[in-house]
Amino acid sequence: MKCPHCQSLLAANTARCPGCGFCEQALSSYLGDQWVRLERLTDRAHALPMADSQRLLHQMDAFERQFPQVFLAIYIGSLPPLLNPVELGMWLLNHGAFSTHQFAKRNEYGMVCTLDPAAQRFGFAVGYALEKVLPEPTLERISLEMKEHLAQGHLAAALEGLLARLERIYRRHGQPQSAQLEEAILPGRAGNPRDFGLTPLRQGHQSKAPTETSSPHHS
Amino acid sequence: MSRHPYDPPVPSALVLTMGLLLAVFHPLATAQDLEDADLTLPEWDASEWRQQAIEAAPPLAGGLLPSLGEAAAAPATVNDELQLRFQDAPPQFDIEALSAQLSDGRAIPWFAAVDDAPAAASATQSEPALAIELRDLTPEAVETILQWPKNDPLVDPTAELSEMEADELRRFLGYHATQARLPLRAIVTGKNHQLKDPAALTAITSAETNQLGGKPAALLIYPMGEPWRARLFLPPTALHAVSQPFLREAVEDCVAAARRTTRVESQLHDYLVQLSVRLFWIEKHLPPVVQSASPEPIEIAPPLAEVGSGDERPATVTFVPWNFLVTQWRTALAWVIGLLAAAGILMWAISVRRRSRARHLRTHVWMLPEVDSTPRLGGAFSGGAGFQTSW
Repeated sequence: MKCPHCQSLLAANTARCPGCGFCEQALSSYLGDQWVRLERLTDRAHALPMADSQRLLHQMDAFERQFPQVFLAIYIGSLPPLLNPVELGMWLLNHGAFSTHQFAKRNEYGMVCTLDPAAQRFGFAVGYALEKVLPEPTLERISLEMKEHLAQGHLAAALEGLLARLERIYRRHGQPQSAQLEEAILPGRAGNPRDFGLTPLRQGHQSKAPTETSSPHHS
Repeated sequence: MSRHPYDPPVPSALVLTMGLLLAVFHPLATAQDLEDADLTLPEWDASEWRQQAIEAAPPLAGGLLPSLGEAAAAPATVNDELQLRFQDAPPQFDIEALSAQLSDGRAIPWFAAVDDAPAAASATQSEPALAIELRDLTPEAVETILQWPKNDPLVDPTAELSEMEADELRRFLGYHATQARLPLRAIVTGKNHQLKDPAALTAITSAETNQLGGKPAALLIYPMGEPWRARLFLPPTALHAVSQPFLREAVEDCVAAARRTTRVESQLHDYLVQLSVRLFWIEKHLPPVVQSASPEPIEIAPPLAEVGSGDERPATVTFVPWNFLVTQWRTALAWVIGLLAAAGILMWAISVRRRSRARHLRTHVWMLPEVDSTPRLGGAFSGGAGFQTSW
């Protein structure tokens, strides 16, 4: 394992990089230690057209249905000058509450892809549970595929390729299990009204189900 | 001139006679000596000496064995001759070993009898017969063929071959029949003969007629001096064992071997020799023999590789790509249908697999293994593992 700041080799339980002193507390002192809420796809640079964003979100829905444990978060925006993509991804995984269909997903099964179109750099940060599934050589191969699309300005294609590649990798490492019946019946279910711009009503605004006492026809 | 008194008396008539004889014969004797001095020793080239040796030497074993001249001109060994003539022959074909198995222990000289030098007494190759000159075999000849002894590999209804040549060919064909799974039966016809009557052809090429030693035999109908019009018939097993180009090449090689010489008898001989070798090659492609209690009747296939079918000129086989589609349209149609069916089956299989895979993706989820991890760099969920690059 390497330090995300200076690329020095780290031991398994190192609390601080022996080379540069990098640790999570140093990141928190710079970005804060509060929890932040983040969508799965955050395009602060407005680099993705709406159609591409919608298509990408649909693919991410299907991706999360196939792999209930894992999620992928994408952040597109300019990074602070002192941070690199892996450092920001690490901080987001440790302090982010990602808006996934199942909030029960643990961040250690998460992967954050951070792209900075202005600086033309990008990187991945993965949680502890994915370190064996996505070792550094695998991430390097994925980045090579993405670079071909990014060099041509095809950001959506690069991210769709990333999703497709992750599906193949996770399917190879995972064990197939039968899905729940309702998921099999409704394969196209998006799952969350927020994906379509719908906000669920608060509990007080919901229409109450008719009770036995209020029913006029109740005898 | 005075004579000495003690000199013996010399008769004047004798002296005169001697002088006259000297005067008459001395110039003649001098011219003969000069002529003898100018004449060189008799010179013969190899072919003349060889021909004289052949004619002078008495035939051995009725002419079946090589005579003095042939033996002198023949190659040192059988394999040398085979190597010269059939360089593409399979190496495992050991003709010496096969020859050694003859009952009389003497090698067959058919290879030694091949002679490119035209013999004065034998007919030589002439122009190909014109189409208008060709005539069908007479019914009597056909009947003679049908009545010919079944165990005779050489059928000569019109007596085209001399007895010695016929015996030699019979010996060779008999030897081939003992060694090969595919015996050869040859029908020799006249130069201008042809066999176009379907009924007669069917009767001649029937399975009952063409069996040697209980084995189905290949049948060759050979017009003397017209090797390009020879017709070859093979049993169905042999016909389907090898490809058409292979058979075409075999027949072409037989014709080429026959055309290397001008003697019509040698042409037939060379044709049969080359065909014998090719039948051995075809034999290697035959399925293994299965012993059955009741052998099934074997039918002779239709003409397989007909080098010439009554043409007045030597047939030339040229490969035209679309010719296959025209002549073998049934095969081509079968291929097209087969390919379309295979493509349809492949597309159907791909479609089924895609649907199955889609169903599998809808109805299954993939669970990654749980991993016990030790926090690193103070991160609760991530220790900064990843990769970064630029584009």
